[in-house]
Amino acid sequence: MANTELAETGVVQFNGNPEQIIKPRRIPRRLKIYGYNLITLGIFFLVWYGIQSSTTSSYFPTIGGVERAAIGLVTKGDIQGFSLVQHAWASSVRVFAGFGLALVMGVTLGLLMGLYPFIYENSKVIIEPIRFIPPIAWIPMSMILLRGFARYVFIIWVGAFFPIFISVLMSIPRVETILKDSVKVYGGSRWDILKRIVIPSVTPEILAGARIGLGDSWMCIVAAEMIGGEPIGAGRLILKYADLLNMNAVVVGMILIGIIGFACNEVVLQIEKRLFRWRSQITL
Amino acid sequence: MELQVPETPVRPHKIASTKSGFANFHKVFYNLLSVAIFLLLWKIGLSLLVHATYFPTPEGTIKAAIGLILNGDVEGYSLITHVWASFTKVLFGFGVALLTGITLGMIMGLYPIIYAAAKIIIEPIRFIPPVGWVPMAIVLLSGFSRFAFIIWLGAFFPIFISVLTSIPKVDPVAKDVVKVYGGNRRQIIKKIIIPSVMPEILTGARISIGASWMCIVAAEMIAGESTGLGRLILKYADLMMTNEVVAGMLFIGIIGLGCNEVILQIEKHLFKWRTRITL
Repeated sequence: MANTELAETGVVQFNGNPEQIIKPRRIPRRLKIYGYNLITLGIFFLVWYGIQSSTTSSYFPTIGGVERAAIGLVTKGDIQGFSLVQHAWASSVRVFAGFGLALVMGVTLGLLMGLYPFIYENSKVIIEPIRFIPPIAWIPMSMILLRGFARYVFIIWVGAFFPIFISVLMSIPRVETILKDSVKVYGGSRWDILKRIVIPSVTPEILAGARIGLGDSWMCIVAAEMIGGEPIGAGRLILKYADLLNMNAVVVGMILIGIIGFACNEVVLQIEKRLFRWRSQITL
Repeated sequence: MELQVPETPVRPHKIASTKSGFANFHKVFYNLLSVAIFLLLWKIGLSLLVHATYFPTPEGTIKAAIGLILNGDVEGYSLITHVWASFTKVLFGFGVALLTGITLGMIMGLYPIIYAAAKIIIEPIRFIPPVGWVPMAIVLLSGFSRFAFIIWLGAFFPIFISVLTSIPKVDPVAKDVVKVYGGNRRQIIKKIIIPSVMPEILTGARISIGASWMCIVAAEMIAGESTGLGRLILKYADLMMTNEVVAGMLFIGIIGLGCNEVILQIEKHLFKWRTRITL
């Protein structure tokens, strides 16, 4: 009796069943967010449609046009007959070769200079100006002096090396001194400190740097492919269609690049999350 | 029994140690030494090459740099014109990105539901490199707005993301203290969140000014205006004059370093209370 009265007034009394607490009767947050995302997507297309029908520019990409271009590119490949997979594969291979090299060198040099800070301090005058030359500014030079695959690998290497190198370098002084001291107290050598304390503390930073480096690599490969003259690669794909003023296909190419970049980031992020559960915060 | 606390050796702070003239002298000496080693390696590398016609040489680069400063480039534009052209584009795009990035980052950080709901649009766009927008910008925009748009894209996301992610990291204890003293949400935002987020905003700004310089160089190379540092190096690359290319690269590097250094000094000055400021 009392219960029904309370329910009518809107107050629900706890009936001793734990499920009442655990499962409140409302739409789960996750589902709600999916719903909101769908609404946002709807608004996005609506705005796009609005601009597309009000603009006088005949080059503005249209929703229908992008869809058609996407289907065309996936099923038939581009105007020169290269398929979308070939473009994506060509870019990925270049990125991974350069990125792998940068990872190995960045970690090695970063550890070396982090452990012996005077090496970094005394070669700063060389490292710093080179660090601030954007990798893209190396493209003309690499076009003249290198060729083919090496050209792209070099650009990617320049782009990915510095984020990794700097993140390793910066993270070493931040290693907890108490941990190092406790190894010393138990009679550990410098090698023990390095192996048991420094390297494990630095790995999360290395991965975070690697994620940033990978993002930069994707940016560099797109620029390098646009300027260097090979016919395949995701960057070349969009420039090819821009030259033909086919903006719909350009948008498809951009989406392709975006998806690959997103996937790479997501893979490294998942590795980070899995390996470093003990870290409180992993940034986007 | 009394517990003996061993005297911990106080490490002299790194910056403090360099203040003495002697240490400073050492630093300068070693840095000069590393420049000498670098130049030596460059020369050795040159002599090992068989076909070194196009390979830049140290003397050639210095000569080219002086020539560019004194006489301007092959088309008669002076170096200042190029620097100014790139600089105004970067500053304009960066300024707009700073404003929009901070505003949107704050809104979406304070109301995470907006970010969660708009993720499906924001995330794919975030992962399209700004350089990927260049062909589109060339076709749809013209002149200054073309470059400003590319810079805006490159600078917006680092700032936006750093503001967005720093808001949940604000110390809840500080927020609770305001609540305990009867403060409202507005006061929490004004007195706690904004001051806590400021350092992150500047760090984001520093990263994005670096990204801006990268974008402007790429945009100038692809889009066809005749001034700008990116165009300058491509112009000389087309003429196979690599010494001038290296000199141009150095100018870009020095300006980038300068911008970074300015923001770093602002950070150091404003946020002395922060323990560490990264490079």
